[in-house]
Amino acid sequence: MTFPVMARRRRARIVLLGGAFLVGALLLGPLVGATDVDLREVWSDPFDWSSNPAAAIFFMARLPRVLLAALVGGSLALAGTTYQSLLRNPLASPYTLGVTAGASLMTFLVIRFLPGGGLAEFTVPGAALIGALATTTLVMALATRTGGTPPTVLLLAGVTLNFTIGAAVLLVQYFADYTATARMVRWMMGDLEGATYRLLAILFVASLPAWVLLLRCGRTFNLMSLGREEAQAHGIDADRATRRGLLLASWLTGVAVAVAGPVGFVGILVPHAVRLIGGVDYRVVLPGALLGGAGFLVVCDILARVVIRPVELPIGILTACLGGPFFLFLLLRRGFARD
Amino acid sequence: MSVDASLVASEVTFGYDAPLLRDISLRIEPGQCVALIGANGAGKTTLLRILGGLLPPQAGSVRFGGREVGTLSPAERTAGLGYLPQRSPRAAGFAVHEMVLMGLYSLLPARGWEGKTEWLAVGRALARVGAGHLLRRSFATLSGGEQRRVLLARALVARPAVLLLDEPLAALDPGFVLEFTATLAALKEQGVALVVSTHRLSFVGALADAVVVLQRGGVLQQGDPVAVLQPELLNDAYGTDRFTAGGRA
Repeated sequence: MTFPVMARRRRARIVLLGGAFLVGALLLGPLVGATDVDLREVWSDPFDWSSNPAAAIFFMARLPRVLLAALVGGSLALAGTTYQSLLRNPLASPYTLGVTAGASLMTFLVIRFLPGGGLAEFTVPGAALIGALATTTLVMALATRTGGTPPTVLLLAGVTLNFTIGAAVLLVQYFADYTATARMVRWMMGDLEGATYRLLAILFVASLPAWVLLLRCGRTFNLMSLGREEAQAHGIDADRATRRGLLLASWLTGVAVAVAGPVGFVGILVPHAVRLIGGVDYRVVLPGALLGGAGFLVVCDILARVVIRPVELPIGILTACLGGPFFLFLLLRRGFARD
Repeated sequence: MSVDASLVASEVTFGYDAPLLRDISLRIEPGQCVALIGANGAGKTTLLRILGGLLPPQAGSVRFGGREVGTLSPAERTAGLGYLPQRSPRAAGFAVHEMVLMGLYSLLPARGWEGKTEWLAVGRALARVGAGHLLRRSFATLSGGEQRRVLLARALVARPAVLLLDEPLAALDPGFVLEFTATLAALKEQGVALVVSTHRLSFVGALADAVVVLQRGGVLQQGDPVAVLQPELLNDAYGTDRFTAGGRA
């Protein structure tokens, strides 16, 4: 009997493909932008930034931003994959449980009431993270009250909180002055400009454990994506797996949104693209989404910097512009509709 | 496998507002087939779920090999109890071989991958239920009956000591019902214990060593099928008078 390509080999393929895509994007990313940078010029004197502007642009402006895009994109795609499995909904995104609303509310409150606070680098991210985690915790607590953690209740509670908190967000915005409103709108569009190496280090250390833990959940997510009974019949505590996975994914989302704002579409688009290439086995999709999401956001960031040079577009606009049509393309493909 | 491979339920009670099951006790020995029958909503599925450890009983206990089913590790459970759910899952995108392989997940090492042994087991299980030709198909595109066969293969693939089958015959064509009954008879011969919920009384007569008639969450009658399946009792169990009025089951 001949068997189809085994998951293990498909995973190796996806990891190779995703890895190559990410590395290519990371190499190209720092070189293009408002002014292009020549790599030879950078390496001619890489650390004397005062006399070598190419190196200064490369290391101070571009590289941290590109790395930030990779970290954020990887986390959002991995989180999206997790939500889609555990909520058993292909349209679930990292923002389904109300993370954006919570993060926006806290961020807007800070912008409105603490403009230019002492630790500007950390006040907005800190507030956004608190808001994101508080909302997810609230959604999960509400769902648990009904006994277990049923996906429908989680989804509906998330959607409801999104609307309710969204009203509070609008209220804060309504009572803000023009400068603050502009900052708020800008934040909503997603923004990778604040990248510093210190922030990157914090982000990496905060995200790595959740990546590792989620990447190990492939088999569990396969069974959970079939349903609660299926998972229970194979010895998985469905409620525990749901809570654990959603908390890890929400943590990743919260951290990513805290530093980059709510960058849309990565969490839906990338996992589906990976599924099209490598099949639906979560042992393949999870690593594929992490690498693919990282590469995808770096590419979006490159495009954001070059489409109307020298103006740089907010990255959220780019991901939505690319993501929307591509997602429709996926939806209308025969193979996708049949399943 | 431990020496004592019997599945024992003692005084199992379950239900949130109204009890779905009351004081159910039964014992299934290796190589024995117990049929659960009863009207829709009598509690057959709930009982099977509790026997399989998918639901914890609110009172009473279910023990397999002397241990509470809820305390078994995933690997012990897989080797002990195979479960066929009543409803087929919506398995968007998974191929048939991937579905069957899931029945072996908990026997794989923690971070390991399936190898030749597992794939051969998948192939054998599919062949056993006459679904070898479906191997590469997408599970979601199969007919209802084909999906049942694949799920049955998944329940069999780890060669469990006990098979818990929730309406395995639903949606199967008559030819396959016969094939399937023969497959189960062969498994019984090999010492596999079977607990089968069904509405087909002919199947009960052909295979079951004991029958449990459930009614509104309680046991109406249990024992030898020939002694239990009398028209008067069936009238009572299914809420009709047709069994004594010359109707045929």
